[in-house]
Amino acid sequence: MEKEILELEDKWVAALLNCDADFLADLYADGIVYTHTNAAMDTKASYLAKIRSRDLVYHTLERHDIDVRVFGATALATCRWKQTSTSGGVAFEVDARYLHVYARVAESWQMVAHQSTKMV
Amino acid sequence: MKHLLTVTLLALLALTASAQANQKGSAVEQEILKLEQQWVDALLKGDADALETLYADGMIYTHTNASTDGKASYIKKIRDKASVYDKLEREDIKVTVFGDTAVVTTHWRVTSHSATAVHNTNARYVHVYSKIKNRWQMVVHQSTRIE
Repeated sequence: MEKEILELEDKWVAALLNCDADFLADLYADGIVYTHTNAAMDTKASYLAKIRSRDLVYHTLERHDIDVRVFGATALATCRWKQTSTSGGVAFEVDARYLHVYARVAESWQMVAHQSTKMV
Repeated sequence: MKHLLTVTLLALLALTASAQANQKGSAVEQEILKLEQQWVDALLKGDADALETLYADGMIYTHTNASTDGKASYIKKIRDKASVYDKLEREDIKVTVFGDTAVVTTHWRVTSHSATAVHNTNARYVHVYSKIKNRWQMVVHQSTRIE
């Protein structure tokens, strides 16, 4: 189970770096709650629109201390991530911890929440 | 005529099923909101026993400064009064249910103190509940400062 989540996490990183909105559309549940490091929020539709239009582009993304825990039909992935991105024409350098929540619905894991918290 | 009756009957059945599903969704949401209130009450009272019940074994608590606690280390801080919550306000609470997983997000303002410092936090947190052994338990808290 943990291996399956780790594989999805790797695919998520690849999708971000390749601007692969179609993969993200499959991975993200319709009601996903996406909270960025500055606490700004996106829905599935608003996030994917940013990726598709290249308003949000990820340039580099490194992860450390990845931890996966499974509680029945809920799985958590947490890690420290360092990423560089451009959003709305502004360059960002993020050093933070993110949480990904997966829910097992109809026999498949979907990401239902992303939340990132800046390292202080 | 018989065909029309069958179609009407099927439509009625579908409507009833959909109403029941909505009611079920909202019942879960109400249950989660009740647990959220219990969590707030427990924090403000320093009620470590209530947190023992609310938090799943293995839960992860990521503070607004990205430091992390496990269930045991967090509850110890509450029991020892190393971390005391003085005031806690929530706005914009949203519950989304995905089968046996429920996600709560909210804007919170919290004043807390330790032996050496007072913290004023204006942030958004996510809480995730998982239905484990037929009981909803909190498996993660993570808070992000509003900038």
